[in-house]
Amino acid sequence: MEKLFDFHFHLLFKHYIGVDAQKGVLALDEDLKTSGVANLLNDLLGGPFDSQSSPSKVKRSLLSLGVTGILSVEHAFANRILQVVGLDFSSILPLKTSVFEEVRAGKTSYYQQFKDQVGFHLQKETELRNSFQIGFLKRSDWAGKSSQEIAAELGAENITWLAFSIEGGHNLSDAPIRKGIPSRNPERQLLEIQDREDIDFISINLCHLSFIPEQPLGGFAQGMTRIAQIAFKSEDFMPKFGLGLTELGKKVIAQALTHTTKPVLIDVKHMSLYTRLDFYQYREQLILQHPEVERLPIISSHTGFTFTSAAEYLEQQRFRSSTALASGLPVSKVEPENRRIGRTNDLVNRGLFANPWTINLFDEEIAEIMQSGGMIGLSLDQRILGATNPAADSLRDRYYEGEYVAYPEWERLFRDGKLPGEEKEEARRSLVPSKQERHSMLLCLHLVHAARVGYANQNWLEGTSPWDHLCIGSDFDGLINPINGFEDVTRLGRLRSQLMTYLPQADKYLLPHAHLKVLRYNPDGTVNRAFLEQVIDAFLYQNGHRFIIRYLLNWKSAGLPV
Amino acid sequence: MITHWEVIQQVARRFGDKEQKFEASARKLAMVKEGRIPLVSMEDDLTRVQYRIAREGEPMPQAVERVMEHANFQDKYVLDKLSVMARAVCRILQRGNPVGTGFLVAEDILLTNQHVIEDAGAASNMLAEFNYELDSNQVPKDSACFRLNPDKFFLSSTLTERAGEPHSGLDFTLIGVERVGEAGEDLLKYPPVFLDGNIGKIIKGEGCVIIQHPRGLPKKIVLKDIAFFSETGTRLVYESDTLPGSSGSMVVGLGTCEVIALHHSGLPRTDDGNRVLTKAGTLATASTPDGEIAWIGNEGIKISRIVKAIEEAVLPPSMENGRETLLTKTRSVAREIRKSPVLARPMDLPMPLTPTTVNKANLDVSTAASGQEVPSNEVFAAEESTDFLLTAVNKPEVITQIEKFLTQRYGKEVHLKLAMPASAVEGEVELFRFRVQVKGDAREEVQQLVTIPEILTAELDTSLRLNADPGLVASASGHETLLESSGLKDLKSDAKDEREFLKDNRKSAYVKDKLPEFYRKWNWAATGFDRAINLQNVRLPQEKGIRVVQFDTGYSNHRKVAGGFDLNDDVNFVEAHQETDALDKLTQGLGKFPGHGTRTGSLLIGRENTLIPQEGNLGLLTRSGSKLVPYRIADSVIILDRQQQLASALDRALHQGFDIITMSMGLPPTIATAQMAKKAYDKGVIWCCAAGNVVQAVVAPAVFPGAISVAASNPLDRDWAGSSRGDRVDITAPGEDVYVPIWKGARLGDPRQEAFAYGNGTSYAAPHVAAAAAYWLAAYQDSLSAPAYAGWRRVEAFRQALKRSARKQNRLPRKGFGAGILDMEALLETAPLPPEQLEYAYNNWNEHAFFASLQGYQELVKTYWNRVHGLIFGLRLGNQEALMAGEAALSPFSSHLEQTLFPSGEQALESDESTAKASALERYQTLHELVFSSAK
Repeated sequence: MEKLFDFHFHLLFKHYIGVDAQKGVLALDEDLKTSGVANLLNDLLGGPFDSQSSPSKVKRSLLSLGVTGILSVEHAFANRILQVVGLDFSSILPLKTSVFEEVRAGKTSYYQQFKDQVGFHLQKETELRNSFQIGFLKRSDWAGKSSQEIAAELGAENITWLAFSIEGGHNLSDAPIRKGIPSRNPERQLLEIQDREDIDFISINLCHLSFIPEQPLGGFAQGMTRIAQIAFKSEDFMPKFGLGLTELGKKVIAQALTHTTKPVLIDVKHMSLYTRLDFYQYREQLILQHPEVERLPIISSHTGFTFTSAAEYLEQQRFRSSTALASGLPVSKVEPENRRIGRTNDLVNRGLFANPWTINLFDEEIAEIMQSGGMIGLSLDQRILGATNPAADSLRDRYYEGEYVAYPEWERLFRDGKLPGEEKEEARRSLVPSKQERHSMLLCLHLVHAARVGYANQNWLEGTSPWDHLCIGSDFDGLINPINGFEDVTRLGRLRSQLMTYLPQADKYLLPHAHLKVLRYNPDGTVNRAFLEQVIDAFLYQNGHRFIIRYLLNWKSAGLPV
Repeated sequence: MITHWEVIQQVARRFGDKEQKFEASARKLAMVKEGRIPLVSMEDDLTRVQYRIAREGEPMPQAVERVMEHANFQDKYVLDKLSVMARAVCRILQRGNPVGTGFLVAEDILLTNQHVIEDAGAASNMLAEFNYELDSNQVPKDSACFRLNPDKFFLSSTLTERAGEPHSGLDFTLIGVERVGEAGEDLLKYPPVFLDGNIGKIIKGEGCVIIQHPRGLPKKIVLKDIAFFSETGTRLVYESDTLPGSSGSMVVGLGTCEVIALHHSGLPRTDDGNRVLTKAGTLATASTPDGEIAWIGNEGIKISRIVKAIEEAVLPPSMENGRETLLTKTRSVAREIRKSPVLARPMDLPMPLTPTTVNKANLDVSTAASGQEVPSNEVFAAEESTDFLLTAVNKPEVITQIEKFLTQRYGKEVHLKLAMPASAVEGEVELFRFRVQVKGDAREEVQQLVTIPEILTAELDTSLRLNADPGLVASASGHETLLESSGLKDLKSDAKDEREFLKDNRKSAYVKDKLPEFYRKWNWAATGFDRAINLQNVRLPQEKGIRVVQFDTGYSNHRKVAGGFDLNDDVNFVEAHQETDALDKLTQGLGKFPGHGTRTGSLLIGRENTLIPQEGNLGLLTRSGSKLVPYRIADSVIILDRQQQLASALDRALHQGFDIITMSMGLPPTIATAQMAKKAYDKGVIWCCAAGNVVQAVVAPAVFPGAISVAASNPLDRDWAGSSRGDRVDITAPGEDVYVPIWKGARLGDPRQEAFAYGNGTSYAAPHVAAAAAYWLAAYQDSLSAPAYAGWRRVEAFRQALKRSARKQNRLPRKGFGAGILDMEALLETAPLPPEQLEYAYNNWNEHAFFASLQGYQELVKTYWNRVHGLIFGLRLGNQEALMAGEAALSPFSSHLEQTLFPSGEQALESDESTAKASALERYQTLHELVFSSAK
């Protein structure tokens, strides 16, 4: 039977923050569902409220293996979520008011919230196992087993195994939320988490979507859309301060990677570009002091790509930028040039564009991650993959929506003005994805791009390839707007056929590195079906499967896939 | 493109009627060259002479001598400098044909004549070709061509003056250049020559050189004796050989190696109708060869005028950065020059002068109104705006409201900036800054600002003298020791050799009958560090992630501290363009005493064994493997340029999450420093501060309740006579006769020699407590990481442990030295008090009253502070003190206050030096008392 792996989604987040229609406890077999005005709001914000990967949906899906993220609600969300766009929705939204209220008023710390959520997951463990055939992974449970044994058990039918990740370093802050008192020892909280015997984490994101004044670990990249930002109306979604990793951030990274028995991988998703570059460098330093860190791969669990290299983007200044002052603070904006990466035969929506925001990975980073033996989860969020206005998506201005970056980072990377550069007109004709399926094409363009960058930047041993480092990282239930046709985890079954159709198209029509082909072709020019199926298998399941085996073996097989 | 002939004609039309003036100057120059009149008498502008001398960075007589000497002897480095500067010069090609010369004035902005590049459109088929020159074998070097990019930056001024267009007629074009060349070359290989718009880069009679591509030939430099001899409001006139194609060349003043003008044309002799004449006296035409035209000299556009045009131009926002970069040098030089001793007192030059008035008129913006020919001289960068700091509640609506008031008041848009953005808390009172040009007295303006609703306090962010220990290097370089005659009791000279040290401390338990390797480390024995660190189970700060950041002059390469500073996380808050490198420039001249950060830092991270002779002391954190993070906040221990620099450093340290700050420099109490001390405390950062030297009163930030304030003791466990003392001292640590690294022979140009000396200052006491804090935090990290100790309780827990464990057996005065001498061994045994027993340091602190009182007294406090420090630490030049710009008279408001407080008036200060010092100090102390009594 077909199996899927998902590198990043949220299993119980909605159950933790949600209530049922009668404002009572949301049972595990219920989904969070908005109706009426709230449903409108749900659509307006890109569907953040309705469940996408609840236990019952997972049960009905092909998901066999994955990583579920735990995150405590950030102040930036809690601050206005019940009064979105200035109206009081607290009675309409099916949300557990108390959680948001406590966060908003600073009556709790993120670490406390995090521990509460961990408790919630553990409390539901038995029910999940019995009623939904969902099991949690801990390295200690698998100790002593060989990789073959692990592979077989993980692949067993009728059970979905999930590992845990920590989404956002804010989860480590033990200071009251936004009260001006700093959290000084996040690494100690992390150590406490690592030393727990009842739960195990595969990775942590240093940053998430908002600024955490009580515990800055490193600059984050803007991830919130303009509309959501206006709706939630928190300045904290805009990066403003800081440059790269802070001293605290480095302590957290060192703690995560040097724990002797339970190291936690660093997930670069949500870090700003400068912070990521800083991280790759800091990791090298750490390896000098602690050689065992080298076996721990770099990951980005739910990302898109910018379809260019950072060098090209910055040095050729494929953006325009500005800075100004608002309320005493510098507000710096970078508007990247729209980057066309392919096209469709749809008369209205001919062009396909990437999301050039720096939250997405640059080519150098794709190579860096592959080189570390790492894994890249492709987000299924439309925005991350580059879709914007659903009605007329290819009529774009020269510049994409501006993103905000921290002033010091702006100063360092984006200070200078624009450079003219006409987009190259594409001469090719006929390409088939329909309007409905354009998002599948976008996903395939991402896959092909990563494979090309991988082939172009690195030598591959026989039996290995860039395709070994790509997987799904849907981010379901992470307040996202999924790509068309894949609205929740139950729909992922359609992926295989879509990939079969569009991967060859993407290999043919992807503009960057057009001369490089990453699929195999028969002498008559047709696509080699066996290889195509093999890379699709790898993407949908095998890569994740292998990765989780390495995790359960505590990363003992360095570098190469098992 | 405008033709060569058109340019000549234009020059003739414009300046023909000034010909007599030029001729007269030329005759005078001839007399100077024949040695018949002294060089300096060429220059009729006294202010320019003063500023020129100020640039020498030496005391008066030597500086004058140097300027005079330049006429005949140039230092060899001038050649080196010129050769670097020449790299910035390029030729401009239009469709491959050379049309002029240009040079880089910012990393990617080029300056040339407007008659070479008329407008942005014209640039599209032009290239800038660098390195077009011959090597020593006369073979052309590989040149590199770069495209021009007017979108990046473009500003030009027409050849002819146009009515209603300010700054027209300056014939210049500034244009952006691509950073990558046509063959992939890197523009960074051609370092720019930044423009300095300040006066005094050259005086008449001094030589200049022109670096150029005449007729498009490989780069040439005219080495003939060429002098600057006359001028108009916008032009300099000089002798020289240039040919067409030299338009847009760089004209450099030899004495200072600064660009003085943008070469633009020859200056022809004319008839009554301003028509160009040939050597034969006939009328010249477009076809007359250059060689036949009768030239008076050459003329170039004054750089000061170009800089002024840049400052006042209306530019799109995307070019603001370019503008800022172009103006950076002008601003920083202006600050430097104002600190010069030469400007602080009247000139006394051995020559007849017909002075134009030497007064603030030259600094006044209004006299330099654009478009009009200012007779006397270049415009001093007087556009220098004023920086204000103010406090207000950090809420968007409050900020907007204040911005509205300010915009209304100054007639142009004003924006507030948070002084410490990363650690600001919404809804709290925070420190803001803004910059604006003020007409009238800025100090009076401060009093006006607080009348604006929502502004709680306001102060000027001007240069403040620092309280630190500048003595060592100064005395090593042959100056007389600075503290010797300060009129205060029992102050020993600042640098001491070992014989004196042994003699003075022969009764010390740490010295008597001890070996050098012991007594040079007496500070270890006196504080119990030697025993404490060897204890079993000592937890190392490094392993616990406890880091110390140092606010000082930055790191250096002295072998004693090599490897001890963290060069990944260092930050430079002084030179903004080198933000990531906190290197102490060790700059001499203009009264700078480098290496302060090296000396204080050595006490924390000084290496154990070096090959420097007479090795002895060791950093207190060295064995724990810790590195010290240097934040460079001042380029000398004399002056803090702006309090904003300190605020930025603190904000950065807080954002990074460092645990401990050590600061061995003091300031007068100001509203800004009070805010900073409280912020650090509230955020739980232990800020170890020197209590202060010589002024007796405890200095800021040590004086504020949030800081840890450290006084100084000596090898006899007595007080160092120079140590500040008072209720606000928390603890005492070794500060007199502490063994620290220095450089010998630190005079300009001499090779520096690494050495050691015994130095004095609370500067040395503070690092001891910082090291103690690091070990203590490491020891009790388990309990202290509990949320109950978050924020200020962490600092308070340390303070209480420090005080409870202090060594009471000592010979310190009973009062004023805190709980006693630091005892590391006992401290490590002292657990933090339970959180509920800790009391907030600001509980008995009436902040409102304190700020209100400081608001009124601040100008007096700062003035007296600067005066006292000038008298004590300033370079004495012929019995005159001066280092910063001459002290301006008090504003009427403060003058009135002063008369009320000190009815005897000013006179007392002008009699003789020692009474002046005593009296100024007494008054400073009175003010200090007044301000702080209000807080109680």
